[in-house]
Amino acid sequence: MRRWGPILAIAWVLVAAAITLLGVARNRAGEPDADVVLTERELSLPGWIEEESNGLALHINWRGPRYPASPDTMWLDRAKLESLGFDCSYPVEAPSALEHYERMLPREVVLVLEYEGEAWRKWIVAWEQQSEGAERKIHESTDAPTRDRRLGEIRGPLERERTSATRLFVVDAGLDLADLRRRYTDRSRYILARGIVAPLIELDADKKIAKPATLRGHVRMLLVDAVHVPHGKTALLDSLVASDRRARQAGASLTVATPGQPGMEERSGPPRYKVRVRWGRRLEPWIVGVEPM
Amino acid sequence: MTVERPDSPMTREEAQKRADRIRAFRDELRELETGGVAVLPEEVGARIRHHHDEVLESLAGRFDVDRSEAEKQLSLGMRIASFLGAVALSFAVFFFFYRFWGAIPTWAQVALLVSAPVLSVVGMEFAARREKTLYFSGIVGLVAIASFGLTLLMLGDLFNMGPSPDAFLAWGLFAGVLAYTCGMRLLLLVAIIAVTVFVSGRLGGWGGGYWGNFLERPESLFLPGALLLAIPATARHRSLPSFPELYRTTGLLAIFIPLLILASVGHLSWIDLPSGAVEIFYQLVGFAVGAVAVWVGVRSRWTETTVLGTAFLVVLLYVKFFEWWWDWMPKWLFFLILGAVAVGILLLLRRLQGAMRKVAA
Repeated sequence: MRRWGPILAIAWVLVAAAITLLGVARNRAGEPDADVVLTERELSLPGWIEEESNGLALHINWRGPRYPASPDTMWLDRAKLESLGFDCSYPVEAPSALEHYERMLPREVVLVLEYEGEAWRKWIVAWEQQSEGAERKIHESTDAPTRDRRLGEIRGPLERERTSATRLFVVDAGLDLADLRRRYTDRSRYILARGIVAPLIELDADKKIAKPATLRGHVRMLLVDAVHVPHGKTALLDSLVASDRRARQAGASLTVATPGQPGMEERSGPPRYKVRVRWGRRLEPWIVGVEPM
Repeated sequence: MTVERPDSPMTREEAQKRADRIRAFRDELRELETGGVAVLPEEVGARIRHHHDEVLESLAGRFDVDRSEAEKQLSLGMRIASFLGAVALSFAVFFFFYRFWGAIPTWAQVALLVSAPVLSVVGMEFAARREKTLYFSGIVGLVAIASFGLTLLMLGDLFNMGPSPDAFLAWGLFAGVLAYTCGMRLLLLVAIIAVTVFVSGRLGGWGGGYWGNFLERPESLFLPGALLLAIPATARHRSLPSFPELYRTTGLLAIFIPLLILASVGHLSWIDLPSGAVEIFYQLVGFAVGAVAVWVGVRSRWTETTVLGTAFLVVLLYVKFFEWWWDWMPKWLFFLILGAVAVGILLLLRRLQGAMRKVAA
């Protein structure tokens, strides 16, 4: 071992690198599984980059069945969970249902992300209706100075949803990649990506004694949630990173809290760049081009 | 009289043990002579001293063994310094990539990532040929392992690949090869941890869950734990006598820690039974496994196995006592019982020791 160890170790490094690169080549060979032009709304610059670092990856922003639930993402219901391999036979009404489903391990599935489609339009309509209702109440019940402030609080987030929030929505999930692609044929609008789904018991918050109400799923994460920007395509993004850094140092706030997702933030303002991204056979993305908007 | 030379295949650890025995012999002989118990004839004493001097000289020449307590302490200092140096150098490699990453084209990034561990291995071999103690080659070995970990991580980031347990297998095998090459336990520990993550992750994946959540089912550590215990039982490590001890220690930890968790948090189990039933099951299994570990450890004279088995039994017992009694029992009584249990275990071990002495006699 003493004699052959170093040779074996070097050979192993080369073999591991070769296997990795062959996998990359296989992913990128042939027609891409999806070829989509996204914008800064969907692929955002990192919120903070250390000055010593000069590598860059764009974060994929998506909406969908997360925790807590929103009404338009209820498609990830009990039947869908069962189709994804979760055993949902345990009665939701049982006293130990919460414990039973909480201990269930999350599963890796193929998610369908829809870009600027029906899900996004419904989301905007729901926001508009909610805002209209809230505005009516404000007009009826408050005095002028308070009204202006509260109207601003309602219209601001709606405007951000229209102009700067992501339009990428997780609309379906499955285990069979080919089957999903048959159902979502538009490769410029539907992205298939691997992600993690877990079951969730939603408690009925209206009742004083919380009781298990419904079983549904939520997407914990995308397995690839950021896309590396290759050398030669970073010039525009580097300049934006630098200008954002300067603005932050000057005290400007560039992000706002993401509605309904505690702890998350997104940029406000119109997108400044668009990015052409391809997803390959193994559902691994890569950036083809970056252009200013 | 011919001087016995340690020409047979010997490791540095064996050589150090021999040097320690000689030192202990000399100390004891001095005590006997001072106390007037026995004095060796001048000629015999001189012959032994001369022989030992030659043996020590030879061992020092071949293995750079420590011949005194002061030398031993210096060696410990050097080991600590080499470990800290390895950690610092690994960070240097990481931040080097971090700093210049975006400024180089993709092919150069790949070339750099692949060449870093390769060059580190070459450096390790170069250092190993020039030193007996392997301090510097150990440092470079650790840097090689850190570099290869970085290579796998950054290739994944560079080409936007999702996380995979296979990367841990690749990393663990690489660390294992280097550990056996330069005989460093720290490198073997890295290999053991990485391969354990791979096996447990794969087990978790076969069970239907996402591999990254394998720790949510502590039972997934049982198989790697058993495999680790099987390695020293099936493969002899004549030239690396400290490796079996590390395999046994990590193997036992991979079994004991999940047992401790499952004996208290039954709902984390794969077994689809009420949490309470699972906990009772694992408490019984825990006591049985702990007792077997102590018995095997004593019988085979594996100190680490005996110590870990005893510690596990005591912790398991204390955890259960805490769960059963802490809330309602007066604190003085609780600690009194803990103390009494400790004394009971002590008496039990003394009886075991006495029985062993009788057998030995």
